[in-house]
Order: sequence, then structure tokens, then C-alpha cells
Amino acid sequence: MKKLSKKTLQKSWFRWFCSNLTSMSYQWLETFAFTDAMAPVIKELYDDKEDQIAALKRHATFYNTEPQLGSVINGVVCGLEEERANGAEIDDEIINGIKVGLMGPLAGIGDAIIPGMWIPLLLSIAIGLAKGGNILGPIFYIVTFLVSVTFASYYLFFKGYQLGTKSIDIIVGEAAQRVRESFNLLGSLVVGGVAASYVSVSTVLEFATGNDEATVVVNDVLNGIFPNILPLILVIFCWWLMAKKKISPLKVMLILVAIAIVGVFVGFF
Amino acid sequence: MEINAIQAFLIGVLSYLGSLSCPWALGTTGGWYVLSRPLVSGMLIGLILGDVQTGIIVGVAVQVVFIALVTPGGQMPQDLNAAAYIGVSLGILAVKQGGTVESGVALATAVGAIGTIFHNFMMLSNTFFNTRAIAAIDKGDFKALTMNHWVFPQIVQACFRIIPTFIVLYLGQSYANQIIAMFPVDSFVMRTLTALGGMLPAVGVAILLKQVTKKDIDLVRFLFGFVLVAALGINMISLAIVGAFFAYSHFIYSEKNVMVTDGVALDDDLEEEL
Repeated sequence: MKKLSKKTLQKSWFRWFCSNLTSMSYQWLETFAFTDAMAPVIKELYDDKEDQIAALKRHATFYNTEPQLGSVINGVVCGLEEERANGAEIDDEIINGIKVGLMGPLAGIGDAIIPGMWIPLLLSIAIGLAKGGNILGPIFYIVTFLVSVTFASYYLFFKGYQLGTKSIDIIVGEAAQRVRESFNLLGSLVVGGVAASYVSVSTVLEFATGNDEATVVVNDVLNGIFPNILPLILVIFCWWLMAKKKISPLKVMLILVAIAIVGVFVGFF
Repeated sequence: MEINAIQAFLIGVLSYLGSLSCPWALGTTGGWYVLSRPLVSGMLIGLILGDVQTGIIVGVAVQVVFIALVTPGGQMPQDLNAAAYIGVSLGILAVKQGGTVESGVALATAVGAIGTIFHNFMMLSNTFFNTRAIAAIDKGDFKALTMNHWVFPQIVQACFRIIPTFIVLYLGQSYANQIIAMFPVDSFVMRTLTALGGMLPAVGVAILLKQVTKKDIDLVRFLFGFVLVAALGINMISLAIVGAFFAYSHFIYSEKNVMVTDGVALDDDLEEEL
């Protein structure tokens, strides 16, 4: 009965954790990161060179997911590989199918949590703390992000290893679906807060009414209708361009450049 | 303030350690997501140049522009690493020379746009090492696999990051100063760049917004968050707590509905089979 040592599993996690995008290319993305992370596991489970080569080849198939929380898949696959080495009927198709089946849903959950919610939230708090050049801001971000994400990645890896195929039901199950929706809900609110705090658009337009004291400051009028209405309109406009008109972020940026130039030219900004 | 050769090199090394594919600073977690945040790079560059406070002030101003631009994949409109190291360094120089923080931000944004070239270069050059990794796998050569995954791509990546950073900061700093001096704060160019700097966070926000809204009506959640901050003035921690309440409630109360629809779906399947 072969059993992966804790040390080997830790090695495998650490390889993935550090090198998940190390050799990324358009064609292969995280493929070789996954293969390389399996190397210590393969060496421990298989002594025969042919078996080792077969195992390496098994894991060198296209792979891409959210790197931080995606470590749970590495854990699951380590468990599968261990069962296989002990004679369980798990062929290449099954292992690859599980990897491909999990990488999509996990990328969804992972992106909703890490870049979609956690980073903007921590950065917003840190920016508040860093007012006036206070070093507390960057320190807060470094510590909270590193500790939380490293712990989550490590924990999920070993959770995936322990639960094995049972974790598949959890990851693709309806509870995971609800978790993703919940994080999307939280993320939407956070993104709304970020937009209100950091997108800044204001106009310098003024209309003289003949009476010096009654000059109409357009920006004040607009904010009287709804606070920060110009930033809101701009965000919705960018979203509409990307989501509805399928315009790439780069082109949206160029459109903003054009708006800025024209805006300054006509005296709007 | 001037940047000497050692300082320029150190900033280049930090830029490399924080670049997207670098494994040595705890991978993407410690590198891309920590070292390449302008908030963090501002502090580190400040330490190297001997003025942490100015470093953080410029870092924060650049971070605001990129606050929501976090997704590393796909079509990056800005190379955050170049903005965080080349851009923030030039920004600090500009501020020390009497320029405004806004002009520093404008510089960082321009650098970030140019920096995307390095990223695309890396994605292409790595294909070469991927081919060698495949050959190593076919032979069962663990060492060659690790070398072609961990080491060789990183030598190229280190060149992509350290050399341009060093050249721009050490050799280009006087030009940067001249360029900034050419455009006073109230000039057309600086007003345009300042207006642009205010608008740019909208791009990152819109990318995230697209990601978190599955249906158009979901925009109302975003509006709710926006209103809480813009109209009611609550801070981000409070907003996160309000958001967590709604997220948790959604998680709890959506269970029953799903189970009911599951049951219906099951019945439908049965009927079809019958």
C-alpha cells in the first residue's frame, strides 16, 4: 500500500504555489506548472521509468485555472494518482476528465473571490490607511493578502487530497454554485464602492447668468441630481462597451483617451 | 533627486520579482499580486531612493488608477508591472522635481500602456521552452522539465524586466525630467492626462463589473454598492460587512429554491424516461 508522505505533498503544493505561471504561453498556459508540481508525487509513487513517463504524459495536457484557490485540484489529483498507484482502476481519461471538469468551475469561483472581491477590497482599505504617505497602508495589504491567500491555497490543497473524488461533487455541486453567486453579489457591492470612491470625473463647465452670484456650476447641479453621477455614467458606459459591444479593454481605454482630449478641447474638463 | 546605477538596478530586480511569471517571491501570490501593486512598489522604491513617504504618496495615486485592473489574463490594456516600477519611479522623480502627483500618475499610465509589449513578448518566447519541456517529458527527464519550466523562461523574463527598467531609470531620467518640464500643470497635455487618470479606474471597474454580473439586472447590486458609498458615505469595511450580510443571506435562502427546481428537473427526467 503506497502512501504519499506529507513532505512530498507539501513539495507538490509549494511547486504549484510558486510556479503556476512560470512558463506560461498562449498555447499552454499552466500546463507545465501542473506537470512539474506532480513530479515529486510521481517519483514517490512509481519506481519504474516507463510508469514515470506515462504519469508525466498523463499530466501534460492543457490546463488553466485560477492559480491561488485552484490548488484544490492539485490536491484531488494527487489523491487520484495515489489510488491509481495502489491498483485502483483510474485511467488517464478519468484523471484528465476530472482536471478539465474542475478547472472551469474553479476559475469561476476563484476569479469571483480573489481578483473580483478580495484584492479590490483589501486595496481600498489599504489606500485609506496610506493617506499622507503612511507606511501602514502597504504593510496592511502585504500582510493580509499574503497570509490569507497562502493559508487558503495550502488548506485547499490538503482538503482536496483528503476528500479526493468527494470534493468534485462539492466543487461542481449546487452549493458551490451558490457560493459563487454569493461572492459575485458581495463582489458587485465592493466594485460599486470602488467605483464611487476612485473613479473621478468632474466638469469645469459654468454658465454665467448675467448675475455674478448666480453662476451655474454644472458639476454641482449634476451632483445635486445624484452624487457622483458622472463617474457612474462613465462606468456604465465602459461596461456597456465591453459587455454589449464586445469591445476590448484596450480599445475602451483608447476611447477614454479620445474623450479626455475632446473634453479638454471643448472646455468640459 | 537622481537615481544612481545601483538604485536603478535594484528597482529593476524588484520589478522582475514582481512580474507575472516570476516564481521566486512566492509566485503570483507574493509577486504579481503583492510586489506589482503600485501601493507596495511605491513603498519599496521609496525605501531604495530614500524617501518612503513620497514613494507611498505616488504609489497610492497610481494604485487608484489601477485599483480594479487585477486580472492578469487575456487582453491586458495595461502592464501593471511596468507602471508599478518604471512608472512609479519616474513619478517619484517628477514629484521631487516639483511636479504634481497627477503628472506622476500620467507618466505611469503611459509607461503601463507601453509595457504590455513585454508581457506579449514573454508569452511568445515561452512557447520555445514549452516545446523543450514536452521533449523532456517524453524522455522522463525530470530535471530537464524543471529547468525548462522554472529556470530558462525566467532568465528571459529577467532580461525583459531588469534591462528596460534599468535603461529607462538610469539613462532616461534626465529626458523624463525635461519632458515633464515641457508640460506645465495647466497645459493642454497635462489637463488631458489628469482627466484621463481620473477616468481610467472605470476600465478596471467595468472589467470586474462584467465579470460579476451574469444578467443585466444584476447591475442593481453594483448600483446599491455605489449608492451606499457615494450617497450615504460609508467606508469600504462597512460596505464589505453589508455585502457579506447579503451574500450570506443569498447563500442560505437560495438553497430551498434550488432544491425545489432540482425536484422538478428530476420529475421531468423521469417523465421523459417513462
